[in-house]
Amino acid sequence: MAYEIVMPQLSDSMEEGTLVSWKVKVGDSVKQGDVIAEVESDKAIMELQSFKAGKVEALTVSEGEIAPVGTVIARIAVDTVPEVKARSEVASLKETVPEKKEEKMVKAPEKKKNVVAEPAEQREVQITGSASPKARALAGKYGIDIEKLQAEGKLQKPAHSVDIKNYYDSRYFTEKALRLLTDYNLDTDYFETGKKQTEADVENYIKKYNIPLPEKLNSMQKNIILNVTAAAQKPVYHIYDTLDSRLLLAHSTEKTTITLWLIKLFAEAMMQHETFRSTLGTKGLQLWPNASVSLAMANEKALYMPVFKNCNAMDMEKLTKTMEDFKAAVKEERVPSEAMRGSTFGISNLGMTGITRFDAMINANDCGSAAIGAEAEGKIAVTLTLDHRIVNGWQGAAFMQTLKTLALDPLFFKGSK
Amino acid sequence: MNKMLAEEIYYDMVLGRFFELAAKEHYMAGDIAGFLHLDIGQEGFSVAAMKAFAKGDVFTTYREHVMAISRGMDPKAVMAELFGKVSGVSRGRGGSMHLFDPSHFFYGGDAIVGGQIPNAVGCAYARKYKEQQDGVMVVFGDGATNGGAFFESLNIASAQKLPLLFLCENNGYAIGTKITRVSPFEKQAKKAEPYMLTMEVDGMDAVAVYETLREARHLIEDGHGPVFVEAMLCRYEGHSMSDPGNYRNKEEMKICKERDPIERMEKMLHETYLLSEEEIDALRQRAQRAVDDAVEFASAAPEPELEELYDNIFSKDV
Amino acid sequence: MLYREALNRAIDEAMEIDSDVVVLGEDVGLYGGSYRVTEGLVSKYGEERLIDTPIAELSIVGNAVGMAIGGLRPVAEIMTVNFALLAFDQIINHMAKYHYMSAGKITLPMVVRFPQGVSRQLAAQHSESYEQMLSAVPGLIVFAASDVNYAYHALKYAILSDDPVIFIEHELLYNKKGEIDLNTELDPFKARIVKKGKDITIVSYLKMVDDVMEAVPEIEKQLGKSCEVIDLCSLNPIDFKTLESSLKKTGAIVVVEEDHKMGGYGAQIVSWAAEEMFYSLDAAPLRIAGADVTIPYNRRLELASIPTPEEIKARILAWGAENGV
Repeated sequence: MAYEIVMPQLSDSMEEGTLVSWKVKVGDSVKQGDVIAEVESDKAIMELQSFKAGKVEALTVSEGEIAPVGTVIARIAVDTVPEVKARSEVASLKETVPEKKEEKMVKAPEKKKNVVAEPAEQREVQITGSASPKARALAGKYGIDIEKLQAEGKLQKPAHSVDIKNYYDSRYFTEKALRLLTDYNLDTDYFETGKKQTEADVENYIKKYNIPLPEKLNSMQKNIILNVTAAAQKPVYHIYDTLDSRLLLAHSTEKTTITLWLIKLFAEAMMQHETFRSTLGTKGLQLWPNASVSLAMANEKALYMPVFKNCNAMDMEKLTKTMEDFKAAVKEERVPSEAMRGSTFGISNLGMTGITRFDAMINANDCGSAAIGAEAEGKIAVTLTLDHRIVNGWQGAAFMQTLKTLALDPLFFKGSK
Repeated sequence: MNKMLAEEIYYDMVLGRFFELAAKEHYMAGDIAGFLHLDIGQEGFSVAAMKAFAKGDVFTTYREHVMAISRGMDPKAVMAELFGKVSGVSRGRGGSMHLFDPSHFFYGGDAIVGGQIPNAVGCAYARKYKEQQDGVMVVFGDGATNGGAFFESLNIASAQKLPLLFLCENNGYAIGTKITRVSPFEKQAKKAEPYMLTMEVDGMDAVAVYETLREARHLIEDGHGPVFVEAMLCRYEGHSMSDPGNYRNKEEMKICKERDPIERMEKMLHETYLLSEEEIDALRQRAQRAVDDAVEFASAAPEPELEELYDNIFSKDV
Repeated sequence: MLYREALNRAIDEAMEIDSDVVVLGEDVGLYGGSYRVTEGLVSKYGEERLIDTPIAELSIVGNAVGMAIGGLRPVAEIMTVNFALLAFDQIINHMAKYHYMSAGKITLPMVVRFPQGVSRQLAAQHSESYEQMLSAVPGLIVFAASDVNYAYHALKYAILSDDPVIFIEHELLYNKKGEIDLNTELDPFKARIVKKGKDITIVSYLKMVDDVMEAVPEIEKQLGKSCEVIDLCSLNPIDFKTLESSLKKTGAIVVVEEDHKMGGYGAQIVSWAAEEMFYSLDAAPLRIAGADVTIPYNRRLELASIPTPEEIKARILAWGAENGV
């Protein structure tokens, strides 16, 4: 079998070579490693050796001739059984390899994109006139002729996206329709162009697709959400019991309401049970010297928890006055935030609504809350919701007992007057 | 040196030479591209160095095929790497100059002259810190001893008493420039003398290289600090494939080839270990078959998929 | 807590966690670091882990590469990026490439950290910025720390991650005050929205973030628009997602960088905006960068060579008026 010698690649950049001289002629015997020719590469003249022993069969390139790298320039009849396949066979073997070098050059892989491209149709718009890219994209989408409108003086030059948007909006929507769209946070894109959309059109759309009116939360509403969310995460338990209502009813008037008596009652019990004057701070428990009670008060929109600070020291007159102030503040939706801080226990009274029993969330940092139901058959239902990190079951039960005792104690009602 | 080791060294040397000849042939045929630096003439040095320093870490240059194979890397995977195939040791990413195999503690393949020396210093620090016995060997050419990285490394390695073997492969030429034209010394060990113990060895004598490096290794393992060994040798080929090497005259090359390490080893096997011609021939044929297999494997191996282009930029998806 | 203390804490905690973490560099040990970043660590971890090197930057990074190969997690400190140029061969040819060219067989868990940028009259050879070069090298993660919290989290991440990280600090930030947020996990690859806004996206990094923030109130007042200020944090890879959602909202982008404008890093961001976000642009992008001059010593000239809060303000106002922003 013939061993083919090709124009060698002699450097990283060589593409063709000159056959300077042959050192053998046809019929010569060559040993492995014998120099058979001199070849000039792009860098130097170099000797070409035979990698096989045998007899020179043919020299296919003459001296001085230039041949591309890989061209067969000589054939040698190999002495022994060939160990290496002829070039042509190697080449055919190589063709089974999936990727060819030339293909590698043109077919660069797609780099992973970090960014999602804009939709294709927006890129294909042919828009003339002076405008920013974003404005052009918008004009293309809306079918607006920027150049014409600028010539007519109806559009700013250069136009920005806001100009296109304004032009489009005012052309296809009445002012009232636009206001409604803003209120409902709706995009004008939802509506067909071609006619001017009125307020009624927008209203129909809102009804048809059942679009809610988005209302922003005010800071008070946000606070309440934060508060009740935090309260829901507290480890709580409940105590269900009743108070005797006879003395409470007997002492209540239009001014000195049951609620005020209850505040008084709880304040007194809290003075006897210091855990109910405790709050959990970042560094541990804090024990407060006075009893401060928060009271749930609501208007149509929001719920407030103003605090009767140090109410153990208040007489009925002071309590009444404080209550009146709070009522006015709640009505005007102007309860200052400092008026809602500093309590350790909260009361929520729904008795006037006729509800017999419910349980309440714990307000802010309070250790517990009391939910007061309606008076029935000489009793008032009380549900204590207690934070177990601060108040344990035994302490809760003892507190309840004190409340019940006080409610039956005429001296308490007398002494308080 | 026992007979078994002598045979092993001889086999690796012949394997190395046949491998390099095959690489040359396939470079000329266009199967291998880029820069190709052949180790022909230096096989005794390369193989003996790997055998003498079998356990520690090795950092070396771009003329590293023979060392890589002798270190234990599969000739098939090395040839496939030269062919740029996915079955190559570095999946066709590195090519001839960048053969790495941490499983053989071989961090080979650095193509910045002298660039691997500071890395070896750092690795030696890690070994000392972790109280690991085996030191580090860094191989570099005579040309690298003229660069700053070399001098910085001599300084740090000796100041820290690091377990590091500096092995200078002095073949007398930095590409085509004779070393004495750019350095005041023919022997570069002079530069290391103020810092550490130096030794010189005939790099064309595999047995001498092996014995010298073993001694150096023992010194390092005993906590002696760094040692510098200089091997004087001769590369038969040009610096790389594109270099005809014609800056050396015929007389010089003739003297060189009279020192041929393979012939010397063969003679020793024959005379000292009493191996017959047939036994030596059998070793040569085994080596040739291994190289033929490597070429066949590399030719048939697939190219890397284009999707691999972005693999291994970072250790995980960042 | 100071910026340099945050860096110190990050290194300290990483060294505590993993005994393979070592620090090397000029004066990092007994001296405590030129900017006091490694102060006190040598007495805690010993000279074996806080390695005082000779003044030989090539070896500092080169040795770190070898240490990483040998199983350590080196943190190399270069006194300033200007000296790191001596180590660029090791950074680019070795640190960045070993993982890729060994097809993932070699990993280099290492960090090279240094300050850069214009400080106070340090003159030409101590005032440069080279994030543009380093970010252009595939295989290197590049972080730029502009605040205390990021400095702590990103450096700790960098030390304990398996990739080579370039960690860029700024000479004028070492004494910047701030707090570390230990409750929130920080993704060091995510850009930081320093201030929310809806009309102009201002992208910056490193010390310029502070200068932008100083200029913003007046810009907002005079233009009647709100600015969204983004600190890139990770310069490579870039968190284009955050940039994209901001630019889609605002339609206007300004990039502020301290380095020379020619070939500067911000060009990459603007090129991205033009190539990928063209139809979101409602104004021509604006780049505010340093002058294309060697940094001069004289303070007046020095300040004229880099963006200042006044210049940032004036340029954005003029650009805003011209572009209808």
